[in-house]
Amino acid sequence: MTDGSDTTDDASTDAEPLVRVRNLEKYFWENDSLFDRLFGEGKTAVKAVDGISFDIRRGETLGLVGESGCGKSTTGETMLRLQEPTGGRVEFEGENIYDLDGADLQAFRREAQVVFQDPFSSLDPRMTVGDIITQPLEIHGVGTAAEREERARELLGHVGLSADQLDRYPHEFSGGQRQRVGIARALALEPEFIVLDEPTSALDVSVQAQVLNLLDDLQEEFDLTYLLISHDLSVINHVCDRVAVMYLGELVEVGPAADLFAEPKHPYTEALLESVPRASTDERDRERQTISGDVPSPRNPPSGCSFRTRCPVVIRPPGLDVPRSAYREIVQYRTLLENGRLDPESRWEQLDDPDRTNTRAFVDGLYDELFTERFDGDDDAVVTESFEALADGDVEEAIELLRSRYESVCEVVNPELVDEPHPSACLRDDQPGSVRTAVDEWEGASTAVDATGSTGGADVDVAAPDGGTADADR
Amino acid sequence: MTRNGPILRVEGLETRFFTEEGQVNAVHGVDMEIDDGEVFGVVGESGSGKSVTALSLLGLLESPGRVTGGEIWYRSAELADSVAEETPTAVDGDYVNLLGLPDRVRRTLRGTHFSMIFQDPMSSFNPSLTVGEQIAEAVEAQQRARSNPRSVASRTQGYGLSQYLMSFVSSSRKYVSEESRDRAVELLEMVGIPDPVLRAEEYPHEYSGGMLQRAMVAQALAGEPNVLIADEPTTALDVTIQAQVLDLLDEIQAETGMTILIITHNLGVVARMCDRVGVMYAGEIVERGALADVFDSPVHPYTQGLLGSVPDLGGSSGRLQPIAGNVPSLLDHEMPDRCYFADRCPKAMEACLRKPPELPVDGAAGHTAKCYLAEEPFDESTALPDGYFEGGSTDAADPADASGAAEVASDGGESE
Repeated sequence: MTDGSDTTDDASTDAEPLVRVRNLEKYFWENDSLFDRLFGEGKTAVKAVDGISFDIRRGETLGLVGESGCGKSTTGETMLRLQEPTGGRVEFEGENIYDLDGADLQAFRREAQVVFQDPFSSLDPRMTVGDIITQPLEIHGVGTAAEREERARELLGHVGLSADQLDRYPHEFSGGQRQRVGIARALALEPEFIVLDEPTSALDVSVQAQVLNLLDDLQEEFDLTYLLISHDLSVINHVCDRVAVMYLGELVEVGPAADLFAEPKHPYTEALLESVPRASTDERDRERQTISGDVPSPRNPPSGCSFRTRCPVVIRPPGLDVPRSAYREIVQYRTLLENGRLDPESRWEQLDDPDRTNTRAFVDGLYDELFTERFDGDDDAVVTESFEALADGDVEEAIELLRSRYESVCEVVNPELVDEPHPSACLRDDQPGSVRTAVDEWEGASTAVDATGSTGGADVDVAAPDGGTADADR
Repeated sequence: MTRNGPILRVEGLETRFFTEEGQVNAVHGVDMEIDDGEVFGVVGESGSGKSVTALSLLGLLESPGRVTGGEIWYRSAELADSVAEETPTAVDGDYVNLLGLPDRVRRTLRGTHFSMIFQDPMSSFNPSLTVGEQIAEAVEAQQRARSNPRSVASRTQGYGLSQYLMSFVSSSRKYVSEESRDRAVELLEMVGIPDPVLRAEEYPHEYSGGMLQRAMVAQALAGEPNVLIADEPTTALDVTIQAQVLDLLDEIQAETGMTILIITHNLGVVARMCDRVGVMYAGEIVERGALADVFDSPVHPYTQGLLGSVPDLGGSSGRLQPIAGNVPSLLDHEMPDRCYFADRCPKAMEACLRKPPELPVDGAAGHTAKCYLAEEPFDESTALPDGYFEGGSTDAADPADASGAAEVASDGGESE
């Protein structure tokens, strides 16, 4: 929580990061029981953390921000080896923590601690505060009983509680005080690295400010390195030196806090910042660029760039002459179809046309509902055709029609973070060579498709691992 | 928008909870005037009594809570006419004192005159009925309430063994009419749910949190209420979804001219939505006025503290200015007869040992604060010494730094 000015960021601290995360993956498997294996359709992966890489430098606070369900807490837990990863590595002081065992693992556990979100459920209600704080010392066999108690008194002082509260129980404390106890417990073993998992989101604003200031003081006093996990951008902005933004299990942008908040590169970061209501009187008149739609399910993430279904600036296919807003409507229509959210049956029932002869009415109804304006020429033909396919009940055909004309490079190529101080995983930004090649190949293939009228071959290698677009949907 | 006075006038509202530990003064002499068609915000920390105020307005308090005093005057000529004969004391011109009405009548007002949306959409819907059915049921209940205020029992209310057995005999038995269903679909469409026909047939678990909050707004709109009370409408939602729901409320307000009372702890939400705001602390409204007055020139040190402790998105860093200590106990025997904020207040004076009345703040109409600072500037000479309220508590810890010491003191004092 030092004022991380850009100059020091680049040069001096780059030497050796304290924590280095590389391609960390944590999948949870569903439908994986014996019964499912025998009779089911096979297990499905929930990709909570899907190959993320970042560094945490000594003495800094890295903020990990994202919406609920994006995998930020899982990242924190996996990095502490509270959960075993399904892939990738985490190096702590140069050693892969997943290779540690025995005494080495014990030593790592002393160096890396955690403060949990909910101070009401993370403290054992049947232990006194003294017992709670000395427990880590006991487990690691530090000192005699008397020394441990002395240490607990000292720690209570550090976190702004009084030493004579040692034999009280958690229920006697308020939320903010309990969180202080949780922090004292994390400090007991003099760790170097602390994961703060939403440390203030259960607290009221005035108390939150106390705890944030306390964390700031402690970092300075004990040279701590923090990973601060939070959904609250203003907390992140206030506290962090660098920030990593997470969406659907992937990092979309990493950068120094000042840069990232002043000039967000990824459209998702931009949307997040836009969405936060400011506590100032000109908030009502602020121009807001909020995004529509919900976070897609991690069971079935979109192919390519995972943000493309909500992205306001999704890249249009080359040579397509459709305004951005209209293209967004097409994307939303396709997403509805692909997610099985547009059911021709119920449409027909609404129309009050038992023989289903009036295809015209069916098409017009949908057209008016989904699009603000009618298209011209070829676009009008393709969209109408897809509605007609729907009227015949052929959803697959409608999807295919739209895909062949409106497929965006964003759904084929998965953008990555380049190795620089402030990268973003967006195809509109700097991308590594492999991704660039994939984009070029796709563009080549798609123009070829236009010429020959056949599809296929448009799938570049990068797209393959992401698998299921339309067909895998329920 | 008619200008014949506020649509809702709350005077001296007192709500108490009678618990085993003693009497809890959750709401303590709250006065409030809400104009027709405005968005009024009540902001405060947890335990400040803001939700209880809302529940008191609607008469939704459950035992052991009870409204023990005050008046809630609601302007509705139509209602005044209909109840004038039965309860003449509760009628004053176009205004009706809701607390003077029998429960039976108050019940008919819910949905048709007042409606509420709750914080957690996931637990506010019945998981075993489709969303469409639940909204249609609200539509139907409201229609019946309008046509015959004496019979408002919902049709699913009598759901018993016979109904349960009947559902096996004819599984397609529905509790709501086709028309109500169509209206439910319309409402879902109005709140921006894509493909409402299909969605109406789905169960709450098939909805995302943001969608469900939209559905709850649709349900609240079913009876075309005059006043909508939104209790932390976006607290359970992610920021991008929060922005969507706030936009929706904004649109609906602009379209229908409905009066909205928003209850929240989020100052950003208040700034985004409200025309006027009331700041609650320990069961009282300590400061109120137009949004710009309260946010730009707050008088009460609590309001100042609240605004100072919010980390800002725009400007970076600088230390936050937290309010020391914790939200006080609301147990009657622990509530001192002084300004409730004095023990946490950086500007506590001798005068603060007497309870401050609601004082007008110079320079702005309708801006008031329950603080002597509204009338006179802070006077060092009468300031209470540091640690005045600590009582006999012993806080002899060795704190890390000076600011820590202040926190220790008030933290310790609180839990004594």
